[in-house]
Amino acid sequence: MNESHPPLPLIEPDLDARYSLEVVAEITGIATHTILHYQEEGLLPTGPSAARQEEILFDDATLCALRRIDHLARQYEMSTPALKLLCGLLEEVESLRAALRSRS
Amino acid sequence: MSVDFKDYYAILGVPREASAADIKKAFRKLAREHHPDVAKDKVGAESRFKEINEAHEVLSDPEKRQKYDSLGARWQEADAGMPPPGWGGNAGAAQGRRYEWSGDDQGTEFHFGGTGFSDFFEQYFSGGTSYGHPGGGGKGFDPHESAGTRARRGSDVEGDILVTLEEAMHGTTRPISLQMRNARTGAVETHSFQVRIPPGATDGRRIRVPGQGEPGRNGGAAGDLYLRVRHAAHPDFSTQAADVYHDLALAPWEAVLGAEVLVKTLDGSIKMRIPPGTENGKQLRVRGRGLPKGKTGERGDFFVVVEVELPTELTPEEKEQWEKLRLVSRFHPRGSAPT
Repeated sequence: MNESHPPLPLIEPDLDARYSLEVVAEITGIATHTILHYQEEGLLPTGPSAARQEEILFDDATLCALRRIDHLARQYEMSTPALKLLCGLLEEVESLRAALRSRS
Repeated sequence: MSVDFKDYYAILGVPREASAADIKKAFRKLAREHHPDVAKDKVGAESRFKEINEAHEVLSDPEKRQKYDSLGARWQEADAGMPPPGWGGNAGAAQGRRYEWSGDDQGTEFHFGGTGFSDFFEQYFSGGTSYGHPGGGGKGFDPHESAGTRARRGSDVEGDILVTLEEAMHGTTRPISLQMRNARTGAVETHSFQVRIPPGATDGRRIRVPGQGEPGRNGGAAGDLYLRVRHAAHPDFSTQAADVYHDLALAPWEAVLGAEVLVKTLDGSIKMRIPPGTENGKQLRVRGRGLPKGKTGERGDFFVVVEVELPTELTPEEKEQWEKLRLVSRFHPRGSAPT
């Protein structure tokens, strides 16, 4: 980085950020009923469950998962069972990789 | 633009046929030597430490190692005019990674800088992906979305970022540059910014940087950038979520009779009491001395994993003592008295 340049904009992500259903729909561009469908199907990382729809809160990991699911559904026309299968496999691969990494 | 081939075996100083244990051993030795905490030349040590880490990251993972080995064999050939797969474009920056949507002639190219990995690693071993709503033309893509002037959100971009355990402990700020060439317009845009990596960034955690992914089309919002945290391997510590693990070497008599030892943690040393009769592999937990967990001030735990080491070179006096022990001991690990 050239020091004569003005300082770069600093972005401070909040790891603990939680979003309401409406905010998630806005951020991801995915309709609320679709998000709820994915959640009911168990496709999203389980977060704290809420009795009322307005009280459900989502975290960054869920946002990331949602965008991936949405991409798969749109790009490859994947059905919900296929999404379940693939997301389950991706999750398993990731946790096995993590186990492998932490062993070394 | 080309990327220099990295000889990871040479970096770790091991032969190509080295076993996993040899690689681990070589890594630990070098990482200890070049760890920025202990080295005198901080700047030089840091780049060397990252290089050692990168070599270990690839060679300690059987899948990556296999890929690396086959890549090495093809490298000359690739250099002589057959670019490796995924090579393309001409974004021109000195460091980073690029990737394009396959089957999408309107794709956006990404080029990363500041992640702590070399260009070579970024190109072949970073598990990064880009997903979202790619810019039209993909198989099975909704034709209504790709056509015309409808506003569409940009793709999310994901990349790995190497974070040392010290950085994970205290947090850090990283300059990141993301260069994107829109194949449709040909325009190259570089987004440079700093990202605060908060304390407690655990391995595998994705840090969301809003609005720094692919720009939107026709007035749509930009996608997000996800930085996936990769903990740099540390010679003394490993992590699992917010818990930190440390292998503690003990002499057989320390394990059998108990001992008091000084143990290094990520933030200062602690005195630990090893209870008598501590078995090899036993985990002793120290609460709250792991990585921070979010903003609550809560922390993970620190686990000391006992590794009893045996003396291999004995003086005649030592040998005599062990022989005496053999005669008097009632310890028969295979269940019956030795014959």
